[in-house]
Amino acid sequence: MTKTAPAGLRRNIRKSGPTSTTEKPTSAQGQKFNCSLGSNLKVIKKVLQNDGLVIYRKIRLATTPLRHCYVIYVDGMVNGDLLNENILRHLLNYDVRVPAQVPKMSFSDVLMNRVLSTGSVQKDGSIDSAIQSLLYGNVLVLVDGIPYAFVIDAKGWEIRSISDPETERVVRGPREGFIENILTNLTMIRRKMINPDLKMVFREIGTRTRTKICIVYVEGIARPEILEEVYRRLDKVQLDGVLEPEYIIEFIRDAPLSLFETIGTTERPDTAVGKLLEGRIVIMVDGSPFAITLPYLFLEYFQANKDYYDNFFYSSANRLLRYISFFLTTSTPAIYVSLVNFHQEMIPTRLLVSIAAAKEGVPFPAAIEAFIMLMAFQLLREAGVRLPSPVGQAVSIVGALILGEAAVTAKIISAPMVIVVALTGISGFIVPEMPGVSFFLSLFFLFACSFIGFFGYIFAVIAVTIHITSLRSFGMSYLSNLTSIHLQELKDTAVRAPWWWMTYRPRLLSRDKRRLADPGRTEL
Amino acid sequence: MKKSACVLLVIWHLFVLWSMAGCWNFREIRDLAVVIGASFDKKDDQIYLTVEVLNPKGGEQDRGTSGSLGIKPQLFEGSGKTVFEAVRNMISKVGRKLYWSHARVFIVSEDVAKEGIIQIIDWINRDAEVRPQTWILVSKGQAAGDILRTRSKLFDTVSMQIDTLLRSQGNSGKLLAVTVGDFMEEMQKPGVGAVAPTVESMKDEREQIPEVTGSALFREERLVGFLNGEETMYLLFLRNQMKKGTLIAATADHPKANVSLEVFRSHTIKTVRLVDDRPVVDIWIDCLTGIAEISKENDVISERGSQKLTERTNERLQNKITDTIKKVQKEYGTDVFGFGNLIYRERPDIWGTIPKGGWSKVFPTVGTNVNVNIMLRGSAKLSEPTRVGE
Amino acid sequence: MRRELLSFKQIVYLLILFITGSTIILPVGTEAKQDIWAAVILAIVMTVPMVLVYARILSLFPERNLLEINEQILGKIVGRFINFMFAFYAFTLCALVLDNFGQFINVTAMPETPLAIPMVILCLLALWATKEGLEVIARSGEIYFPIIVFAAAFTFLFLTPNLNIQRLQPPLHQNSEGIVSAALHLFSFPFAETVIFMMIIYSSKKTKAMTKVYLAGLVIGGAIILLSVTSVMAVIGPERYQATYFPAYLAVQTINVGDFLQRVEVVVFLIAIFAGFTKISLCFYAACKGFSNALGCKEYPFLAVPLGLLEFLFAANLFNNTKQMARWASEVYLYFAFPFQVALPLILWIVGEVKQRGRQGSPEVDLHDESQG
Repeated sequence: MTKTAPAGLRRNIRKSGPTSTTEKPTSAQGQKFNCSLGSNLKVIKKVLQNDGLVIYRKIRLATTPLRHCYVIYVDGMVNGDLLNENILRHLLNYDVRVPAQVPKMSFSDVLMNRVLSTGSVQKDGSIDSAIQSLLYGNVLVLVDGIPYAFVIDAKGWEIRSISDPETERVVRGPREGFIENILTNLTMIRRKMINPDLKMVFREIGTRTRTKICIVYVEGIARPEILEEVYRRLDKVQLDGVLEPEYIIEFIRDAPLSLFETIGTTERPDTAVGKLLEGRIVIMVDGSPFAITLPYLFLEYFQANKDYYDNFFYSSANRLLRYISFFLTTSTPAIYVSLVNFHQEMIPTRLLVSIAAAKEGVPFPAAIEAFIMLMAFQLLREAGVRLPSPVGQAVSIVGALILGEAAVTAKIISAPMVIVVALTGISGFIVPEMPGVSFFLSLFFLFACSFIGFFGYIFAVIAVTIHITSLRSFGMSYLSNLTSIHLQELKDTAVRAPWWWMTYRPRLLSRDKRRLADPGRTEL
Repeated sequence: MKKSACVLLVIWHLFVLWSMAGCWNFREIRDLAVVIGASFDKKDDQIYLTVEVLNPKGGEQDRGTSGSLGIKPQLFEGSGKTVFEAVRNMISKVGRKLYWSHARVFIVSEDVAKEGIIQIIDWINRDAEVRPQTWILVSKGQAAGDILRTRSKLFDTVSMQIDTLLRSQGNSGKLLAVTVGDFMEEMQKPGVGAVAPTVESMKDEREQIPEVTGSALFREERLVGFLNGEETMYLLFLRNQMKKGTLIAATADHPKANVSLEVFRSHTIKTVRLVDDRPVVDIWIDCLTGIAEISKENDVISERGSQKLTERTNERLQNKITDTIKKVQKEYGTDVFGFGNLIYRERPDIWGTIPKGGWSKVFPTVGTNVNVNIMLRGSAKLSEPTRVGE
Repeated sequence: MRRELLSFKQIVYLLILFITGSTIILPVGTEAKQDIWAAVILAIVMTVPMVLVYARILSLFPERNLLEINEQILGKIVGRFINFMFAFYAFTLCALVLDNFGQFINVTAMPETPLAIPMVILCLLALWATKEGLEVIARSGEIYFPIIVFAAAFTFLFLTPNLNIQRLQPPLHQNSEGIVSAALHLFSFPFAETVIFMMIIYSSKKTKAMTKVYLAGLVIGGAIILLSVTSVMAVIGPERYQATYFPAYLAVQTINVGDFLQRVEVVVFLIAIFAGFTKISLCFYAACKGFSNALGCKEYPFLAVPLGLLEFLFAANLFNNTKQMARWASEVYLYFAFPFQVALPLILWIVGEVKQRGRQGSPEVDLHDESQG
């Protein structure tokens, strides 16, 4: 099921800068429309050479003297009804030669005010930007003798319908997720926040793709310095194509080589609005159902939107679970290897004997075993993601049962290692936002532990701490909410406090710190 | 360019470091011979070490048949001039490195203990792998290795049996569990003689089984004598180590008509005072008990009867304890009750008047004054003695 | 950008981690035997006036750390020389702590791994942390602190069944000499070592705040030491305390909860490495700052790598064995540290007070009260 995009919602797209089309040989760069329809058309046709999608409709207008006009649009990108009913039909039917009911106005004004009955009609004198609009799904009307084009917003292409966000499913909470159309996405945000303080600034990025992006923020909550910094960094992005937020993220993020993400993404409008309300800035990118949120702090790996929709006791427990599972997924193989290869005194005697019995005949040291199994797990995971879900299940059955069991029976892997890797993998799914981070961390810890046991682990933890504490996201310290033991901060870090108790927004992040006008709950 | 080269160099160095480091303290579990218990004997200046090693392979074979993870212990013997040498010499016999962290029990033969135990205690405390929390026992009248050669009926290994027994200190009240660390502390502390439990191998049916019987008394580092199980109980009372669930027997009016009391709680307070420049230790023992068994129909439950019972028990216990103290003072002369330490702790002024190293001379002259106060809490499920119908 | 501002809370955390750092693993105050608690208290009391002097010097010259103060009041040449000495002190201290932890890991857990391996790793980490700046050290400290508190609380909880008050008896009996000697050692290690902080932090305008921060760090850190050392003493007794290089390790070995939670000492002391690392990196940072100042450079990070390698070599060759380390700690260190911990700060304080008074004409009244201590 498809729908058409709402046309003409907002059109304050910034004009592309002069630098953006430099190397194009057939560009109409800097050219203006002149009064001759023929020459205008020639320029446009030359620029849009070999573009079979563009349709030129010639109409003879009922005017004296006779004028011709061209309606130009890209096939499939305009709303057919709108085009036929409100543009073509009026242009064909309206007789401008009858000036009786027409007050004194120029021909172009007549066209704009009497004929073209669509939501947005603009005059555009620059051929370059008119073509730009054309390719974005607008309809161009060129009229003989008028030195500009009418740009009519009649966008309407096929888009995916709004559906459940795949990556961030919740049991309770809104079911809509962003889709690939930026305008639809922005309306979803706007619908959740009916407030003039919500600002949406459009930009264009990508010298070739000319992708629309939109910087969304709430004035009065977002800090102007951060906003300033975002603009500054976006200005520096020189990329020919932007297909997904990651293209931009890797340009504008702090610590570009770090494993840890300093910019977040979300697929859910409610999450995006939640982050906006905390003073963060959201960047929507056309063509992707993922929105960029920044600044992104370490803590946000562990804050899931469902935390805020469920009962706060349950949510707090879940959050603690996420911290624990982060620890488990990064450290279980490392701890197991340390115990088995270095600190055997810590294993209870009976367990020691049974591990020893299980390891009897296994040719590899525990560290190699762990590495093999972690790799195998990643292989299975990746295979499962790519495949359609029925096949994916088959793969996981093959992987889990057959591979695991067979490897143990064949004495390639010891049975405890299968448990360890399964625990690592399962807990990795509880913090789904950081699959890369936890995998690499677990490898790093494993590496360190296979070297000097628990001491390697602790040194690795120190190293990660040094790295993490030196990270910043748009001027904010990456751990800013986590390190300071601040009662107000704890309300949304270690646990999720009830809403009536979270009086303040995250410190340092927002300008207007107060979330609740009246702290506490009004007695009912 | 330069920076990336630097990073590569660092990574390369780390890798080299890692690959070289891989085999320092790296031990595969399957390459370890896990020692669960060890015994020390001495013959002709050679230390004979017997270790009980857990054998996972045997365990695995067992699993196939019975489903439970059985452990089959293996015994190895080795000798050397020192303990460490004996341990190292044994590697060639075992084939794997002995791993000591899981050792539960160290058994020292009577002969070794009589000659001086420091050699062994020192090694245990010095070695990073061996834990001071291991139990220490003295084998009475036998080679220590023979204890490990007995067979435990319910447990996988002899050491595990002794370990479990000592951990609960047996509900028998006749066991004194001592770890190597405690032993060492008592050996070093002023005014205390160290004690260790004794273990013997007994014949049960057709098999030899280990039995922890009493306690061995040390003066300084040397074994000087033994206490039997009952005397060990009085020692426990005196050391305030009496635990819950212990039985003491008390005679009632009729001969042969015994009553058993179960100890729920016991607390001992010792104070010291000077009488004619001679230290006298007052001992108060408060013991909460309940009647566990009445062997003949007699009245111990009614108020009068129970009063009588407690009086008798108090008196009996007092005498026995005093006898034990006397015996130790006279025969062994080692202060296993910690009277000297009591003086050191509570009356350092008196302790100061005793010349250094002179406590062993003073100890036999210490006067004691034992007061036992048995309290009866109840008589378990039955309110009356079990009667025989007419 | 050059100024790295720490919050007061961060400084207090760092002070606590610094004080507890290597102290909890080493046998401190053995001379006091069972009266070790008294020695710790006495040492804290002795340190209070010294710490007030430190804080006073810093608040006399707001926005300046010790190195800049030295330069300002002693002149460029003398000041830089003194700074060089202080930097050397920090450098030595760093090497000592490194060596302590290296020996500790080597003796207790990794006898076959060369001593140098944990040391070189710790050294590289400290180097990295120093390059990243003081704020990174402080933030890491903020992360480590709750972990350490948590671990310490649990360790203490699990140790309680093994505590025996009799091991602390007889209290205060004809042992004043031992107590005083132990307190002096405790004064020089770890309490007055906080002089290192003067090279790192500086006071903003508020004069009282520095005193408060220093005192809070000292008292909380001292209380932790008091608790840990006393409980260790009550678990293993003075004889074994004296006989071992790492008494706390021995005490934690006795933990046995329900027969499954035992042999956990490695984990407990892993967490102690957090505190030790904080101390190492703080000393190293101070050394870097000091040397760069003595060399007349504005920036310090360029010194981190060469100095770090030097530090490692120094630490690795400092002692041949654990016995030497213990002897140095008990016999030499007190005299080695005295000029830096007491003499120089006192001189600086007096000179600074005189100069400041001369410049300001009439000093503020409340400043005078503060220095009484």
